[in-house]
Amino acid sequence: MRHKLLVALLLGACAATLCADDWPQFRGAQRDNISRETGLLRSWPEGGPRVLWTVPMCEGYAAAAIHSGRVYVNDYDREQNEWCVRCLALDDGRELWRFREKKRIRPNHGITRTIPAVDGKYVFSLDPKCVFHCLDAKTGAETWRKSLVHDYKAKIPPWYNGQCPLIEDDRVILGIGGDTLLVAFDKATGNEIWRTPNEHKWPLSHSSVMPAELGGVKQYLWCTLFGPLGVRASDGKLLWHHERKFNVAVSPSPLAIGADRVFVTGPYEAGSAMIRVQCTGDTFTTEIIFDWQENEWNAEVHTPILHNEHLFAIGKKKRGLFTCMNLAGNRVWDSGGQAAFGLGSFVMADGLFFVLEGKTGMLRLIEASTTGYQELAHAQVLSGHDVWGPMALSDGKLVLRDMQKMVCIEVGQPATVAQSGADNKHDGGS
Amino acid sequence: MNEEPTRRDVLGHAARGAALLGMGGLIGYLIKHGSVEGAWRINVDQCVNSRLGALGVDVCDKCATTCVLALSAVRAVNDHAACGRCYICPAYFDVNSAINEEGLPSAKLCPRDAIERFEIGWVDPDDPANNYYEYVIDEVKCNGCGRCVMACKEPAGLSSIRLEVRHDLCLDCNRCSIAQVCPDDAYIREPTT
Ligand code: SF4
Ligand code: SF4
Ligand code: SF4
Repeated sequence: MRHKLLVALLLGACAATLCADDWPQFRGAQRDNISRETGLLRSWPEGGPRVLWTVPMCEGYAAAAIHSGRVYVNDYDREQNEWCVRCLALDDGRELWRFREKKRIRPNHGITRTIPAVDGKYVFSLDPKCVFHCLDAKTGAETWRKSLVHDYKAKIPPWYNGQCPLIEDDRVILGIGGDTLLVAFDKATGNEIWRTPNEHKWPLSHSSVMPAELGGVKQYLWCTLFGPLGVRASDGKLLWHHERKFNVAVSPSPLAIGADRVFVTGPYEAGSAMIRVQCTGDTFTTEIIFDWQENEWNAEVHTPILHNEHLFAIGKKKRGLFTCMNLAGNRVWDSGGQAAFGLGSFVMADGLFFVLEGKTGMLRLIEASTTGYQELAHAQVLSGHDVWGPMALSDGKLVLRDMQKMVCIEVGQPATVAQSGADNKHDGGS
Repeated sequence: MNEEPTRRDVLGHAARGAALLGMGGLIGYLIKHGSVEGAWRINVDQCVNSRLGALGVDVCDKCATTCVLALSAVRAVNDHAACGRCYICPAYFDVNSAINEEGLPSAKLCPRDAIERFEIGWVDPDDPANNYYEYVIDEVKCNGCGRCVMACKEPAGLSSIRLEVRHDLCLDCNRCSIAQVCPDDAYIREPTT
């Protein structure tokens, strides 16, 4: 009896907080772009996975966070000049609430970007003009806000904000620019837990803050145009910075490799680098393991996935080959001769990669292998150009988008009660 | 109502712009030659500088260096309606140069400083990095070296800049020296009637 009670309590706790199958923020619960879901389909029915719903979206790349059966996505209403955060039901795509704010955003390689972070109680979203909103996850009412421009003297980057907030425990962490490098806010109040001064005035980048433990110290990694850095999680102290030049913008985020390495890559011929980060006593030092200054390989937009001691990502060259590299930086295989993905996105789950062709919206299912490119299925799920938005996976449902719409497809075992996707075409978009 | 142009507007302008650009060249040719037999044209889908997918390769400057004219008859042309009007245009800035205190690349790409930039449209004082800019090519300075064309190509650019043979300048040689060396067979002779 006591045992049953414990199980019930644990299940209750799971329902109230984070479940393993949620996708609560950019790159998922563990920020590694890997879903822990299992039992996914390894082949797809004729015509592709079943479409559960389709919702129109303003043109852009803003993508989904999913928590407790709800999808949270940034959007824009061009008729009203309103920036929005929308909450949709994961089951059928119906809109549950929408937060709106007048904001004039110009089309500039799409209008919408980034992914909110959700913990079931609050939704956090940094809008295109760098105002940070905390919303009630149930109703969409705003709880608190900060302006990076007015409160921290940050400059809005070209192509607007590209950063996705990081939530951990009681806090939400942002890279800032201006007079402050990073801030940890108390999720409930918006009060600062700590802030890191920005002595060198490094500008706000499009990269997102990543959690890591390097040299035995829990820290947050970030990357600006002047190179990657690590800040101590407990108090915001800047532990290290590795001076490295990036060009124009840094969109991918720094990726911790094990306990002592960081991989960085960037657009505009910036190449990639593997940096060793070591701690001796209280002092952190960095050294280059390899640095492709001649742009031997780079990713323009998306951060690689670390899996089985290998890096997987879409490289810029040759129209975007999905590439597997070992940690010494050697190419193991790529999709050359089979498929090219442009600036498309990718996500991993259950030993599989879902990889989107950025120029066509073709979705390819690829074995997560370190020995070769092996495609298991493909389907024309989306269409058009610039299909660059990241994907989110929860409860066997993959949520993805092109420039016009968000689509939810069934990639897990079919639901026992079949629903027709044709019945779930919503027109409440912008 | 949003007054920013829609994609359809842009494409409509682009089509009209392309038609006007093409007519401009042809009218120039007719004025100069008074007959319509054939004319040299650059196939932008063949030219390595504008061909999509040709990334990480060297710029071809043969149009600039092999024309018999002292200043080549080839020019870069920006189709403004198709341009992204970005704050950081990779055809205008040398995006590999050091970042200055404003967060911008410190050097320009064009070796002849032939591209000028003008702020256009509504300006948000809090957000200078997302204003629109027009990039205008000074045809007196441009020699068709192709660097800006290579940079204005996906994924960074929108292919709004391309090389064109200026028929009002071209001597219409029977054996065009550029056509003989073009490594991509992009320099083609087309009937003008
Ligand atoms: S790269 Fe091309 S499309 Fe983009 S702003 Fe420059 S000229 Fe315009
Ligand atoms: S073609 Fe060469 S000279 Fe002409 S504008 Fe472009 S970079 Fe300058
Ligand atoms: S010679 Fe041919 S490839 Fe080279 S710039 Fe001229 S048209 Fe392009």
